[in-house]
Amino acid sequence: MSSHSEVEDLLAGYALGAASPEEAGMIRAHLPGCDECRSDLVRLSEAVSVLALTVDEVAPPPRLRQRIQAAVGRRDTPIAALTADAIDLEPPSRRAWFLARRSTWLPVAAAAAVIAGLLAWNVRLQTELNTRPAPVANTGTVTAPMKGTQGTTMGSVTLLRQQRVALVSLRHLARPSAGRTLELWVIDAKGKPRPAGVFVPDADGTKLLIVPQDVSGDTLAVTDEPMGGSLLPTTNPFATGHL
Amino acid sequence: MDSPDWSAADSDIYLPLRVQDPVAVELAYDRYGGMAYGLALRILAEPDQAEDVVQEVFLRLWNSPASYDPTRGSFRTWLLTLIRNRSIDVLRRRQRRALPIELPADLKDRSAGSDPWQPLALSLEQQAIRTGLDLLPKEQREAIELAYLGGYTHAEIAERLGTPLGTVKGRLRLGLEKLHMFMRESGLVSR
Repeated sequence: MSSHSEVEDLLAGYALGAASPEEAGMIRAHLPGCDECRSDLVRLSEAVSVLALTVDEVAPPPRLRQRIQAAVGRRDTPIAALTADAIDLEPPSRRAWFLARRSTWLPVAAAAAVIAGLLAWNVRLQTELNTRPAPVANTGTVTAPMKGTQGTTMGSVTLLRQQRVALVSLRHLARPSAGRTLELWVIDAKGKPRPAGVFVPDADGTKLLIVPQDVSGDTLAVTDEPMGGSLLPTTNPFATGHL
Repeated sequence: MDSPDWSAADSDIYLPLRVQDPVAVELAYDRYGGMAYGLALRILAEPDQAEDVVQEVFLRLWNSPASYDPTRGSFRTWLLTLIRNRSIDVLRRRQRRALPIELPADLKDRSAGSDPWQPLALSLEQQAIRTGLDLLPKEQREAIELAYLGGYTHAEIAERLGTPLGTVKGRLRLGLEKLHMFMRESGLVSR
């Protein structure tokens, strides 16, 4: 029969996976009857759980992604998917465009505080979510990919429903030619687009946009437009995401 | 879980995963592939084996999406624990007892994530945790790293360091307690 102090001495090693099979067996037999040791183990395990973050990230070789995608692709068609097919912009209602209030998004560089706030919102939101089992269709956050015309992933859009804010993350963006700009659109279920702001990609071809509106059920799209933006899309979208 | 864990935002991964949307695996890989591979490589020191471990764990996500329970902790912690434990299994199986090695500089490029704000939050958290670990006395840090990254048992650590078994147990305990206290003071955990 093991003593409490013996087990107490072994708990840190147990949390780290350093206990021998005999030691682990002794601890498992002791834990059900000892609140103090259970509480200690939770605390020590919490410290162990962050140790992974002290290791540097390393970019895996590209073939690893391909191996995983190939293995996943061997499965049957998914039961449900969040992605949507390419949208049809024809014919948008011009009148609706003039009535629509032009929305804006915030450039990342000028909105560090906003991002921090959003992160905090999201953490709080997700913490609430994590404290209870939530049905899939009734969550506070929804994310969908932004897909290119060839089906490639060009980023994602995340909707924080409670905050009525969408985060759009784009990558693999080509810089628009002189006198041109990129424009983000929010397109409702009836196909009516609303302009959501113009932007140019960052030097690395990425852009993070914050859309301060509820875009539930809408499609987001990006087009190449004349400098200053358009009231209606004048080119076909090259990236779309449906929420 | 009421600690401020950035990865709590991972519902955009695990909810689509539940309905077996392949995008979920892609998102998980974009967000944590570099961390998972870095951890496996650090433990195994063999790129091919590290790849195998990462592939195995990501396929487990796909094949058993219900095995993750969001009420019991963050997705990231769960995923990296799977990577660590599987890596240690492989390490023990091959009976290799090499210390973790420094990686070649060309392997240290950080992977490009799919989400620009995620790395920012992560790097702040990583910085805080590394600071906490650096504040530990060298002996405690060394013992913890041998256990966590090397997969050594109490007795093996004692033998390797030429230190009494009781001292090793004490170092592990004190080190983790101090790390937890630092995390609490830094607001990384609430208990």
